[in-house]
Amino acid sequence: LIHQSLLYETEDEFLSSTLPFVLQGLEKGEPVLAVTSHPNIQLLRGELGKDADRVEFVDASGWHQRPAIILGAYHRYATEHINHCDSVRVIGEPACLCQSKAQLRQWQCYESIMNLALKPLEAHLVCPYDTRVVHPSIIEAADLTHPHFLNADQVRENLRYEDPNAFVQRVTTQGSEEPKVPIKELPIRSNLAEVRRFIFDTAREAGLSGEAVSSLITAGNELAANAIKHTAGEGRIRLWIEPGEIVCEVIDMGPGIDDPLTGYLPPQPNQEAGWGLWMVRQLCDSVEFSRGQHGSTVRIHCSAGSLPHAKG
Amino acid sequence: LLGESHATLRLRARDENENLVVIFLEGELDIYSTGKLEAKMKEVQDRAEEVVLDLSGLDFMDGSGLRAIIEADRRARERGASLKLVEGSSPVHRVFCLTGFDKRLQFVPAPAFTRKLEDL
Repeated sequence: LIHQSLLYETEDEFLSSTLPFVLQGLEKGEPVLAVTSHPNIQLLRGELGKDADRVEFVDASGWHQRPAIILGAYHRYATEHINHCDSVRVIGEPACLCQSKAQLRQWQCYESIMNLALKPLEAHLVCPYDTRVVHPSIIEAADLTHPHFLNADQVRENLRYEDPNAFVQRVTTQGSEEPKVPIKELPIRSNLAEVRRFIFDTAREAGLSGEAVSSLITAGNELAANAIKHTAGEGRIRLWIEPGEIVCEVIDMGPGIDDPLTGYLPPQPNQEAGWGLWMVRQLCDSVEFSRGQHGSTVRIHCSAGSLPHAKG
Repeated sequence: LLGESHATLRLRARDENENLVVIFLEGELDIYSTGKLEAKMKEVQDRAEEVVLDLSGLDFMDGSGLRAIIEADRRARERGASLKLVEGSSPVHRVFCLTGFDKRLQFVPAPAFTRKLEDL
Protein backbone atom coordinates (compact mmCIF):
# COMPACT_ATOMS: atom_id res chain seq x y z
CA LEU A 1 0.00 0.00 0.00
CA ILE A 2 1.19 3.46 -0.92
CA HIS A 3 -1.08 5.78 1.03
CA GLN A 4 -0.53 9.46 0.33
CA SER A 5 -2.23 12.71 1.18
CA LEU A 6 -2.71 15.65 -1.13
CA LEU A 7 -3.61 19.04 0.31
CA TYR A 8 -4.95 21.42 -2.32
CA GLU A 9 -6.48 24.84 -2.47
CA THR A 10 -6.97 25.36 -6.18
CA GLU A 11 -8.16 23.41 -9.20
CA ASP A 12 -4.63 23.46 -10.57
CA GLU A 13 -3.17 22.00 -7.40
CA PHE A 14 -5.74 19.22 -7.50
CA LEU A 15 -5.19 18.43 -11.16
CA SER A 16 -1.39 18.68 -11.23
CA SER A 17 -1.19 15.77 -8.78
CA THR A 18 -4.23 13.63 -9.51
CA LEU A 19 -3.91 13.70 -13.30
CA PRO A 20 -0.41 12.12 -13.40
CA PHE A 21 -1.58 9.68 -10.72
CA VAL A 22 -4.47 8.52 -12.90
CA LEU A 23 -2.41 8.48 -16.11
CA GLN A 24 0.34 6.36 -14.55
CA GLY A 25 -2.31 3.84 -13.51
CA LEU A 26 -3.94 3.72 -16.92
CA GLU A 27 -0.56 3.30 -18.57
CA LYS A 28 0.10 0.22 -16.46
CA GLY A 29 -3.38 -1.12 -17.10
CA GLU A 30 -4.39 -0.74 -13.45
CA PRO A 31 -8.03 -0.31 -12.45
CA VAL A 32 -8.61 3.29 -11.33
CA LEU A 33 -11.36 4.45 -8.99
CA ALA A 34 -11.82 8.18 -8.39
CA VAL A 35 -14.04 9.21 -5.50
CA THR A 36 -14.09 12.99 -5.33
CA SER A 37 -16.36 16.03 -5.61
CA HIS A 38 -18.49 16.61 -8.67
CA PRO A 39 -16.45 19.64 -9.86
CA ASN A 40 -13.22 17.62 -9.49
CA ILE A 41 -14.70 14.77 -11.51
CA GLN A 42 -15.54 17.27 -14.28
CA LEU A 43 -11.98 18.60 -14.18
CA LEU A 44 -10.43 15.16 -14.47
CA ARG A 45 -12.84 14.10 -17.20
CA GLY A 46 -12.00 17.22 -19.16
CA GLU A 47 -8.28 16.53 -19.01
CA LEU A 48 -8.52 12.80 -19.62
CA GLY A 49 -10.72 13.05 -22.71
CA LYS A 50 -11.68 9.60 -23.93
CA ASP A 51 -9.38 7.96 -21.35
CA ALA A 52 -11.96 9.04 -18.79
CA ASP A 53 -14.04 6.04 -19.81
CA ARG A 54 -11.38 3.78 -18.30
CA VAL A 55 -11.76 5.42 -14.88
CA GLU A 56 -14.56 4.63 -12.48
CA PHE A 57 -15.82 7.95 -11.07
CA VAL A 58 -17.92 8.29 -7.92
CA ASP A 59 -19.34 11.56 -6.63
CA ALA A 60 -18.21 11.61 -3.00
CA SER A 61 -21.06 13.80 -1.80
CA GLY A 62 -23.65 11.31 -2.99
CA TRP A 63 -21.72 8.28 -1.72
CA HIS A 64 -21.39 6.67 1.71
CA GLN A 65 -21.04 9.23 4.48
CA ARG A 66 -19.67 6.98 7.20
CA PRO A 67 -15.90 6.29 7.41
CA ALA A 68 -16.36 2.63 8.34
CA ILE A 69 -18.54 2.01 5.29
CA ILE A 70 -16.15 3.86 2.97
CA LEU A 71 -13.16 1.96 4.29
CA GLY A 72 -15.05 -1.30 3.71
CA ALA A 73 -15.86 -0.17 0.16
CA TYR A 74 -12.20 0.56 -0.69
CA HIS A 75 -11.14 -2.75 0.79
CA ARG A 76 -13.77 -4.55 -1.26
CA TYR A 77 -12.70 -2.70 -4.43
CA ALA A 78 -9.05 -3.56 -3.91
CA THR A 79 -9.63 -7.24 -3.06
CA GLU A 80 -12.04 -7.73 -5.95
CA HIS A 81 -9.69 -6.26 -8.54
CA ILE A 82 -6.34 -7.42 -7.27
CA ASN A 83 -6.70 -10.88 -8.79
CA HIS A 84 -6.76 -9.43 -12.29
CA CYS A 85 -3.92 -6.91 -12.02
CA ASP A 86 -0.73 -6.02 -10.17
CA SER A 87 -2.09 -3.03 -8.31
CA VAL A 88 -5.19 -0.87 -7.97
CA ARG A 89 -5.28 2.90 -7.86
CA VAL A 90 -7.78 4.93 -5.85
CA ILE A 91 -8.42 8.63 -5.41
CA GLY A 92 -10.31 8.75 -2.13
CA GLU A 93 -11.46 12.22 -1.22
CA PRO A 94 -13.18 12.19 2.15
CA ALA A 95 -16.47 14.08 2.06
CA CYS A 96 -16.58 14.65 5.78
CA LEU A 97 -19.52 16.81 6.64
CA CYS A 98 -18.94 16.38 10.33
CA GLN A 99 -21.34 17.68 12.87
CA SER A 100 -19.94 16.29 16.09
CA LYS A 101 -16.60 15.83 17.77
CA ALA A 102 -17.07 12.07 17.70
CA GLN A 103 -17.53 12.16 13.93
CA LEU A 104 -14.41 14.30 13.56
CA ARG A 105 -12.42 11.78 15.59
CA GLN A 106 -13.75 8.94 13.49
CA TRP A 107 -12.70 10.67 10.26
CA GLN A 108 -9.26 11.32 11.71
CA CYS A 109 -8.85 7.69 12.72
CA TYR A 110 -10.27 6.39 9.44
CA GLU A 111 -7.18 7.49 7.51
CA SER A 112 -4.90 5.96 10.12
CA ILE A 113 -6.77 2.66 10.13
CA MET A 114 -6.66 2.56 6.33
CA ASN A 115 -2.93 1.80 6.71
CA LEU A 116 -3.79 -1.35 8.67
CA ALA A 117 -6.79 -2.36 6.60
CA LEU A 118 -5.15 -2.16 3.17
CA LYS A 119 -1.61 -3.01 4.30
CA PRO A 120 -1.35 -6.41 2.61
CA LEU A 121 -2.79 -5.14 -0.67
CA GLU A 122 -1.01 -3.75 -3.70
CA ALA A 123 -2.76 -0.42 -3.88
CA HIS A 124 -1.96 3.22 -4.55
CA LEU A 125 -4.30 5.45 -2.62
CA VAL A 126 -4.25 9.23 -2.74
CA CYS A 127 -6.50 11.21 -0.40
CA PRO A 128 -7.08 14.78 -1.60
CA TYR A 129 -8.12 17.31 1.03
CA ASP A 130 -9.64 20.59 -0.07
CA THR A 131 -8.18 22.89 2.59
CA ARG A 132 -10.85 25.51 1.83
CA VAL A 133 -13.71 23.36 3.12
CA VAL A 134 -12.39 20.50 5.26
CA HIS A 135 -12.33 20.97 9.04
CA PRO A 136 -8.83 22.08 10.24
CA SER A 137 -8.57 19.21 12.73
CA ILE A 138 -9.02 16.72 9.90
CA ILE A 139 -6.33 18.40 7.81
CA GLU A 140 -4.03 18.34 10.82
CA ALA A 141 -4.66 14.64 11.36
CA ALA A 142 -4.10 13.86 7.66
CA ASP A 143 -0.54 15.01 8.18
CA LEU A 144 -0.04 12.27 10.78
CA THR A 145 -1.97 9.44 9.15
CA HIS A 146 -0.46 9.26 5.65
CA PRO A 147 2.96 7.63 5.26
CA HIS A 148 3.45 9.61 2.02
CA PHE A 149 2.63 12.97 0.40
CA LEU A 150 1.78 13.43 -3.24
CA ASN A 151 3.08 16.60 -4.83
CA ALA A 152 2.65 16.87 -8.60
CA ASP A 153 4.10 13.54 -9.75
CA GLN A 154 6.44 13.22 -6.78
CA VAL A 155 5.74 10.82 -3.92
CA ARG A 156 7.55 11.88 -0.77
CA GLU A 157 7.91 10.19 2.56
CA ASN A 158 6.03 11.82 5.42
CA LEU A 159 8.34 12.08 8.41
CA ARG A 160 5.48 13.06 10.72
CA TYR A 161 3.60 9.82 10.07
CA GLU A 162 2.44 8.23 13.32
CA ASP A 163 1.92 4.54 14.05
CA PRO A 164 -1.83 3.80 13.63
CA ASN A 165 -2.21 2.03 16.98
CA ALA A 166 -0.69 4.96 18.82
CA PHE A 167 -2.59 7.53 16.79
CA VAL A 168 -6.00 5.91 17.28
CA GLN A 169 -5.39 5.42 20.96
CA ARG A 170 -4.41 9.06 21.41
CA VAL A 171 -7.45 10.36 19.52
CA THR A 172 -9.79 7.96 21.33
CA THR A 173 -8.51 9.16 24.68
CA GLN A 174 -9.63 12.68 23.78
CA GLY A 175 -13.16 11.35 23.44
CA SER A 176 -13.34 9.12 26.49
CA GLU A 177 -14.04 11.76 29.09
CA GLU A 178 -17.04 11.48 31.37
CA PRO A 179 -20.15 13.16 29.94
CA LYS A 180 -21.38 16.31 31.65
CA VAL A 181 -25.02 15.47 31.04
CA PRO A 182 -27.37 13.08 32.88
CA ILE A 183 -26.67 9.39 32.22
CA LYS A 184 -29.09 6.48 32.19
CA GLU A 185 -27.52 3.27 33.34
CA LEU A 186 -28.50 -0.39 33.54
CA PRO A 187 -26.49 -3.36 34.83
CA ILE A 188 -26.22 -6.08 32.17
CA ARG A 189 -27.73 -9.14 33.77
CA SER A 190 -28.41 -12.35 31.92
CA ASN A 191 -31.29 -10.81 30.05
CA LEU A 192 -30.68 -9.02 26.78
CA ALA A 193 -34.36 -8.30 26.27
CA GLU A 194 -34.09 -6.03 29.29
CA VAL A 195 -31.13 -4.25 27.68
CA ARG A 196 -33.05 -3.79 24.43
CA ARG A 197 -36.06 -2.46 26.32
CA PHE A 198 -33.82 -0.01 28.17
CA ILE A 199 -32.32 1.28 24.91
CA PHE A 200 -35.73 1.48 23.28
CA ASP A 201 -37.31 3.43 26.16
CA THR A 202 -34.36 5.82 26.52
CA ALA A 203 -34.12 6.48 22.79
CA ARG A 204 -37.84 7.11 22.44
CA GLU A 205 -37.84 9.37 25.46
CA ALA A 206 -35.04 11.38 23.82
CA GLY A 207 -37.17 11.83 20.72
CA LEU A 208 -35.58 9.24 18.42
CA SER A 209 -37.74 7.24 16.10
CA GLY A 210 -37.74 4.67 13.32
CA GLU A 211 -34.50 3.29 11.98
CA ALA A 212 -32.32 5.31 14.38
CA VAL A 213 -33.90 3.43 17.29
CA SER A 214 -33.58 0.00 15.72
CA SER A 215 -29.94 0.69 14.76
CA LEU A 216 -29.15 1.66 18.33
CA ILE A 217 -30.90 -1.42 19.69
CA THR A 218 -29.02 -3.74 17.35
CA ALA A 219 -25.67 -2.08 18.10
CA GLY A 220 -26.19 -1.86 21.89
CA ASN A 221 -27.40 -5.46 22.00
CA GLU A 222 -24.21 -6.68 20.26
CA LEU A 223 -22.01 -4.79 22.72
CA ALA A 224 -23.96 -6.12 25.71
CA ALA A 225 -23.82 -9.66 24.27
CA ASN A 226 -20.03 -9.33 24.00
CA ALA A 227 -19.85 -8.23 27.62
CA ILE A 228 -21.83 -11.30 28.65
CA LYS A 229 -19.74 -13.65 26.50
CA HIS A 230 -16.35 -12.36 27.62
CA THR A 231 -16.87 -11.53 31.28
CA ALA A 232 -18.48 -12.94 34.37
CA GLY A 233 -21.50 -10.71 33.87
CA GLU A 234 -20.62 -7.57 35.77
CA GLY A 235 -21.05 -5.25 32.80
CA ARG A 236 -23.26 -2.21 32.51
CA ILE A 237 -24.73 -0.16 29.74
CA ARG A 238 -25.01 3.64 29.80
CA LEU A 239 -26.87 6.03 27.52
CA TRP A 240 -26.86 9.78 27.22
CA ILE A 241 -27.71 12.53 24.78
CA GLU A 242 -25.27 14.92 23.17
CA PRO A 243 -26.09 17.57 20.57
CA GLY A 244 -27.46 15.79 17.51
CA GLU A 245 -26.58 12.33 18.73
CA ILE A 246 -27.21 9.60 21.24
CA VAL A 247 -24.26 7.92 22.92
CA CYS A 248 -24.20 4.36 24.19
CA GLU A 249 -21.44 2.83 26.23
CA VAL A 250 -20.85 -0.68 27.51
CA ILE A 251 -18.36 -1.12 30.32
CA ASP A 252 -17.18 -4.50 31.54
CA MET A 253 -14.30 -6.12 33.37
CA GLY A 254 -13.24 -8.17 30.35
CA PRO A 255 -9.90 -7.87 28.55
CA GLY A 256 -11.14 -5.18 26.16
CA ILE A 257 -10.21 -4.70 22.52
CA ASP A 258 -6.71 -3.63 21.51
CA ASP A 259 -6.78 -3.81 17.73
CA PRO A 260 -8.23 -0.56 16.33
CA LEU A 261 -9.03 -2.41 13.10
CA THR A 262 -11.61 -4.57 14.90
CA GLY A 263 -14.95 -4.50 13.09
CA TYR A 264 -13.70 -2.53 10.08
CA LEU A 265 -13.20 -5.51 7.81
CA PRO A 266 -15.89 -8.12 7.30
CA PRO A 267 -15.20 -11.69 8.41
CA GLN A 268 -14.71 -14.15 5.54
CA PRO A 269 -18.09 -14.78 3.89
CA ASN A 270 -18.13 -18.40 5.07
CA GLN A 271 -17.19 -17.43 8.61
CA GLU A 272 -19.99 -17.78 11.12
CA ALA A 273 -18.72 -15.66 14.01
CA GLY A 274 -17.37 -12.13 14.22
CA TRP A 275 -20.21 -10.30 12.55
CA GLY A 276 -21.33 -8.43 15.66
CA LEU A 277 -18.76 -5.63 15.68
CA TRP A 278 -18.87 -5.36 11.90
CA MET A 279 -22.60 -4.60 12.23
CA VAL A 280 -21.95 -2.09 15.00
CA ARG A 281 -19.42 -0.25 12.81
CA GLN A 282 -21.86 -0.20 9.90
CA LEU A 283 -24.68 1.16 12.06
CA CYS A 284 -22.93 3.84 14.14
CA ASP A 285 -21.12 7.07 13.35
CA SER A 286 -18.30 6.24 15.67
CA VAL A 287 -17.13 3.22 17.66
CA GLU A 288 -14.30 3.67 20.15
CA PHE A 289 -12.54 1.18 22.43
CA SER A 290 -10.82 2.31 25.57
CA ARG A 291 -9.76 1.19 29.01
CA GLY A 292 -10.29 3.15 32.18
CA GLN A 293 -10.45 2.75 35.91
CA HIS A 294 -13.97 1.32 35.58
CA GLY A 295 -13.02 -1.37 33.07
CA SER A 296 -12.97 -1.92 29.33
CA THR A 297 -15.26 0.36 27.42
CA VAL A 298 -16.85 0.49 24.01
CA ARG A 299 -18.49 3.81 23.25
CA ILE A 300 -20.69 4.37 20.22
CA HIS A 301 -22.21 7.55 18.84
CA CYS A 302 -25.29 7.49 16.63
CA SER A 303 -26.47 10.68 15.00
CA ALA A 304 -30.17 11.27 15.05
CA GLY A 305 -31.82 13.79 12.77
CA SER A 306 -34.60 14.32 15.27
CA LEU A 307 -32.24 15.56 17.99
CA PRO A 308 -31.11 19.20 18.10
CA HIS A 309 -27.65 19.76 16.62
CA ALA A 310 -24.78 21.73 18.01
CA LYS A 311 -24.66 25.30 16.79
CA GLY A 312 -22.02 26.31 14.26
CA LEU B 1 -39.24 -4.06 17.11
CA LEU B 2 -39.51 -5.34 20.67
CA GLY B 3 -41.43 -8.42 21.62
CA GLU B 4 -43.97 -8.07 24.38
CA SER B 5 -42.57 -10.90 26.42
CA HIS B 6 -38.95 -10.89 27.45
CA ALA B 7 -36.36 -12.84 25.48
CA THR B 8 -38.73 -15.46 24.37
CA LEU B 9 -38.47 -17.36 21.18
CA ARG B 10 -41.43 -19.42 20.14
CA LEU B 11 -40.67 -22.05 17.61
CA ARG B 12 -42.96 -24.43 15.78
CA ALA B 13 -42.01 -27.06 13.24
CA ARG B 14 -44.40 -28.68 10.87
CA ASP B 15 -43.74 -31.55 8.47
CA GLU B 16 -45.22 -30.63 5.13
CA ASN B 17 -44.23 -33.99 3.76
CA GLU B 18 -41.45 -36.45 4.49
CA ASN B 19 -38.84 -34.25 2.85
CA LEU B 20 -40.00 -30.78 3.74
CA VAL B 21 -40.24 -29.19 7.18
CA VAL B 22 -41.27 -25.61 7.84
CA ILE B 23 -40.04 -23.96 11.04
CA PHE B 24 -41.85 -20.85 12.11
CA LEU B 25 -40.10 -18.46 14.50
CA GLU B 26 -41.79 -15.87 16.64
CA GLY B 27 -40.34 -13.45 19.20
CA GLU B 28 -36.68 -12.63 19.63
CA LEU B 29 -33.54 -14.47 18.61
CA ASP B 30 -30.50 -13.53 20.72
CA ILE B 31 -27.61 -15.27 22.50
CA TYR B 32 -30.03 -16.76 25.05
CA SER B 33 -32.62 -18.10 22.64
CA THR B 34 -30.39 -19.15 19.75
CA GLY B 35 -29.58 -22.50 21.39
CA LYS B 36 -33.22 -23.48 21.07
CA LEU B 37 -33.12 -22.82 17.31
CA GLU B 38 -29.82 -24.64 16.91
CA ALA B 39 -31.13 -27.76 18.62
CA LYS B 40 -34.29 -27.75 16.52
CA MET B 41 -32.40 -27.17 13.28
CA LYS B 42 -30.08 -30.12 13.92
CA GLU B 43 -32.96 -32.42 14.71
CA VAL B 44 -34.97 -31.35 11.67
CA GLN B 45 -32.04 -31.33 9.24
CA ASP B 46 -31.28 -34.92 10.27
CA ARG B 47 -34.58 -36.09 8.87
CA ALA B 48 -35.63 -33.65 6.15
CA GLU B 49 -33.90 -32.72 2.90
CA GLU B 50 -35.56 -29.38 2.65
CA VAL B 51 -36.13 -26.95 5.51
CA VAL B 52 -37.89 -23.62 5.32
CA LEU B 53 -37.17 -21.22 8.15
CA ASP B 54 -39.95 -18.67 8.33
CA LEU B 55 -38.68 -15.50 10.04
CA SER B 56 -41.77 -13.40 9.31
CA GLY B 57 -42.93 -13.58 12.93
CA LEU B 58 -39.56 -12.59 14.37
CA ASP B 59 -39.26 -9.16 16.03
CA PHE B 60 -35.51 -9.15 16.64
CA MET B 61 -32.41 -11.07 15.62
CA ASP B 62 -28.78 -10.46 16.60
CA GLY B 63 -25.37 -11.69 15.45
CA SER B 64 -25.73 -14.98 17.30
CA GLY B 65 -29.01 -15.69 15.52
CA LEU B 66 -27.33 -14.94 12.22
CA ARG B 67 -24.52 -17.29 13.17
CA ALA B 68 -26.95 -20.15 13.87
CA ILE B 69 -28.60 -19.62 10.48
CA ILE B 70 -25.27 -19.52 8.63
CA GLU B 71 -24.31 -22.76 10.37
CA ALA B 72 -27.58 -24.40 9.40
CA ASP B 73 -27.06 -23.27 5.81
CA ARG B 74 -23.56 -24.74 5.76
CA ARG B 75 -24.86 -28.02 7.15
CA ALA B 76 -27.54 -28.13 4.47
CA ARG B 77 -25.01 -27.50 1.68
CA GLU B 78 -22.62 -30.13 2.99
CA ARG B 79 -25.41 -32.69 2.81
CA GLY B 80 -26.74 -31.59 -0.54
CA ALA B 81 -29.93 -30.55 1.23
CA SER B 82 -31.52 -27.12 1.20
CA LEU B 83 -32.36 -24.32 3.60
CA LYS B 84 -34.72 -21.61 2.50
CA LEU B 85 -35.66 -18.52 4.47
CA VAL B 86 -38.78 -16.41 4.57
CA GLU B 87 -37.86 -12.78 5.19
CA GLY B 88 -38.44 -11.22 8.60
CA SER B 89 -39.40 -7.70 9.69
CA SER B 90 -37.14 -4.86 8.59
CA PRO B 91 -34.88 -4.80 11.72
CA VAL B 92 -34.40 -8.56 11.29
CA HIS B 93 -33.72 -8.43 7.58
CA ARG B 94 -31.26 -5.58 8.07
CA VAL B 95 -28.91 -7.99 9.88
CA PHE B 96 -28.72 -10.05 6.67
CA CYS B 97 -28.25 -6.94 4.52
CA LEU B 98 -25.50 -5.45 6.71
CA THR B 99 -23.50 -8.66 6.52
CA GLY B 100 -24.15 -9.48 2.85
CA PHE B 101 -26.09 -12.64 3.70
CA ASP B 102 -29.23 -11.29 2.05
CA LYS B 103 -27.47 -12.35 -1.16
CA ARG B 104 -25.70 -15.46 0.08
CA LEU B 105 -28.68 -17.20 1.65
CA GLN B 106 -31.74 -18.34 -0.22
CA PHE B 107 -34.77 -16.18 0.54
CA VAL B 108 -38.12 -17.24 -0.80
CA PRO B 109 -41.46 -15.42 -0.89
CA ALA B 110 -43.70 -16.09 2.06
CA PRO B 111 -47.23 -16.74 0.84
CA ALA B 112 -46.98 -20.39 -0.21
CA PHE B 113 -45.93 -21.41 3.27
CA THR B 114 -47.54 -18.92 5.60
CA ARG B 115 -51.00 -19.81 4.39
CA LYS B 116 -50.42 -23.35 5.51
CA LEU B 117 -48.92 -22.26 8.80
CA GLU B 118 -52.08 -20.50 9.81
CA ASP B 119 -53.57 -23.95 10.33
CA LEU B 120 -51.08 -24.78 13.04
